[in-house]
Amino acid sequence: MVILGPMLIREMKNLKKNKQFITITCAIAILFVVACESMKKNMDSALNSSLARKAGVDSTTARQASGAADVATGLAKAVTSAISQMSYEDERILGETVGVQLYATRDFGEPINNKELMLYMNTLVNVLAQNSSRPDIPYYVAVIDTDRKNAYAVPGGFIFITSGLILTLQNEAQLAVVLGHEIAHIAKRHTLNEMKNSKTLGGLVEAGGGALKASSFGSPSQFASFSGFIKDLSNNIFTHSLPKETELEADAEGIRYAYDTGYDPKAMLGVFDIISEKDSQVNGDHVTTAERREAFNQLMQEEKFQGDASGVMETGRLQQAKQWIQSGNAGW
Amino acid sequence: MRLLVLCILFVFASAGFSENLYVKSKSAKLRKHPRKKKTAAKAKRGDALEKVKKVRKWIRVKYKGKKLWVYKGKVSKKAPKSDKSLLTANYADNVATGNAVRGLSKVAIKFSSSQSVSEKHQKFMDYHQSFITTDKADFASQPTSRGVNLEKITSEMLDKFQEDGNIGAYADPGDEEFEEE
Repeated sequence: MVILGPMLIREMKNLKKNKQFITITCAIAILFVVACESMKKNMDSALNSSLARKAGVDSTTARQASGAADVATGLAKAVTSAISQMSYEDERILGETVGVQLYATRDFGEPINNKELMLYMNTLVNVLAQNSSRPDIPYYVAVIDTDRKNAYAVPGGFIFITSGLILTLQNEAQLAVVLGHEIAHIAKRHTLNEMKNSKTLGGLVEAGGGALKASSFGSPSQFASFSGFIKDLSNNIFTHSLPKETELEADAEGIRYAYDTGYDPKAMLGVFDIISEKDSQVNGDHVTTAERREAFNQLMQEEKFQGDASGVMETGRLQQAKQWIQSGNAGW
Repeated sequence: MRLLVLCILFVFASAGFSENLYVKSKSAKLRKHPRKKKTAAKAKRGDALEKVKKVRKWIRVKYKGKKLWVYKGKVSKKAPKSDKSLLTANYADNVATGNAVRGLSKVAIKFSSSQSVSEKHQKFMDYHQSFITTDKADFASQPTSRGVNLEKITSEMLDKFQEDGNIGAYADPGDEEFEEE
């Protein structure tokens, strides 16, 4: 440090005298301004897409095609921006409306009415979420009475897990990685971002002047778009898989959350054995079990897990939860 | 080129002095010794801790002038990003009064009405969000308009869940020697 200090100061003085330094700095500043201007133009294009479409009527076919693509790209960017700027309260209200629609969907199933089971599940999910990348929002989980083996994540912190899946799990660590996977979908806003190209979400963002605000969802100008988007999103969550990369990211994040909480990350291997590909939704770019295993092996090479990829597998509490499920739904 | 090499040397030389870790979980409870469950200090998400050494799943850190131990799952090398979605919302007040989940929002009710969603299906969503994580003593657990009781999950209950399951900071830290200040 004693030697390096004076040398660094001398070199900096030399550079300041150098005209090249000024030229390079100016070039970087110009590039930055140009990039910002380009981003602004894309946003303006998205927000004025209705006008843009009207303006394109008199253009050539080629220009129309090019313009439409620009508008679509611009709108997708505006939607992405609106999602990233959405407040938790607005996201929660959107999510609970999706939840209502899911419960009203034929064959979705009813939540099991059992206070002990709800307390166990909601405590576990919030213990895990404390170590997630979005730990400051509450998470809510309910067990759906159905033989299907699946779990669903809805924006705003809502998780649905089926009794069919819980009954086939072998230990609490497996339940932890499954719930961690769903927490990751919410923390990373996977389901909303996956809808960024949907017409109904684009329409909702346009009607909202570039924002997603619950205070306006019920207004006459936005309600039709809002309702259309709620139905699209709930249908997507219930019947479609998320893209492969998104699912693999949720696997990795979920394993990290469970491991940081104290569970054994290797529990995920057991989950891969239990949930076959046909148990998950089959529509969309589906990730295979082989791909998930390969990604898991790569994850275990991370410094985080090196030399100590261990933790708790079983606490005995999952068996109790299974008994509550098997004792039957108290009904409504 | 000479300057670049000097800069790299400078960065490495600086890094040799200390390593900062950051609380990435909601909060981190620091202990005098991994086997002593009593909390000696509580650090907030984003707080910097100076790493002294790591022993299995515990890290010796300096925090506010004290040398303490933190469970490794609570910290990361990178400072966590703040949750922008909470910057504009009046979230804390809503949770404190139970307003955040006092039955469905007006928007959800309007949607249900327009789509002929039954009262029973709306009640399911009330029930879905009826277990609320809050430490507010004045949390009013009155039922929703559809007759669903609200239940409270406190930080103490989240800790007890981990302690009962011998998970994480409550697991046996191993046979290693851990220093105590």
